[in-house]
Amino acid sequence: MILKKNFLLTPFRYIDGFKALAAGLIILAVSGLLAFSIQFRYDGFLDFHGAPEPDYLYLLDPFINWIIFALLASFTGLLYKRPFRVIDMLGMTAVAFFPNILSPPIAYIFGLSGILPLITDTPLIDIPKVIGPYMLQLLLSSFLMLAVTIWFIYLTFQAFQTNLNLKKTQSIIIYILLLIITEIITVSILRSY
Amino acid sequence: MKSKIKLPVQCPSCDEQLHVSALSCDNCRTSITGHYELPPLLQLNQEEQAFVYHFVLNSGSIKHMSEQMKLSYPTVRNVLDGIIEKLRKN
Repeated sequence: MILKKNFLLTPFRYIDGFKALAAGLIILAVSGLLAFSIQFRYDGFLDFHGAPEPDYLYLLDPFINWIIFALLASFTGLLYKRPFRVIDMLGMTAVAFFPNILSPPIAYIFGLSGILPLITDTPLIDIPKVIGPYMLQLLLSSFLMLAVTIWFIYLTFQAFQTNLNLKKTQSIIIYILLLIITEIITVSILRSY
Repeated sequence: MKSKIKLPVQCPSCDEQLHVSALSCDNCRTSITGHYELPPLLQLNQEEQAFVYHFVLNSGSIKHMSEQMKLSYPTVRNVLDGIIEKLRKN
């Protein structure tokens, strides 16, 4: 019952309802805009890749990732007969996308939109030569991207767990399954256009 | 709830549930000894008892509780679920 205040790791102890949904929709819109502005896109729940030929449809990517995860999480709640409010599920899962806002600035600062095409356009055997001068940039950006992804996964788990309040081991197993299913569905939808 | 002296419900030595073994009347000094189970609500810890107390005062409204505790609705509901589970076990 002693709840320590930690807005970065457990924001869902404090925000709920329409406030969370409004904040979450802003977060999704901003992350989509930032990615679009540096020619990247969230082409899957756990994906962030270069998009050299940006399409305005890519602005919808974060919203599609969010709604599929929120719907699957809600369906899980119904399946396990958990008493949850749809507004909280929608709002909290949207807020959980906050770490994604950091990915475009990281990609921009480390010049990934310039480096990644070099790698994809180079034959496999020549890649070490090509990335050699950019090794430090790639390592640092990969480390930061990994941290952002872990934070994102942690927050989506918190949103899921706070809403459904399943038993700990059960919730971890179900969440992992949910993550895999969400990834498969979002990748197949988002990479079709 | 305003009392500063907390009623211990768990043994500080082995964590087992405590029982009432003596009661006394402040007016006539009558003392009763025996072996009485604590009522289920008193078997909750102080924080949980305070939660139940305020929950009743708020007419059982999770929404009002969340506003009062400055916690999200699902967090308060989860605290309540934890207490319900504990009461069912007792």
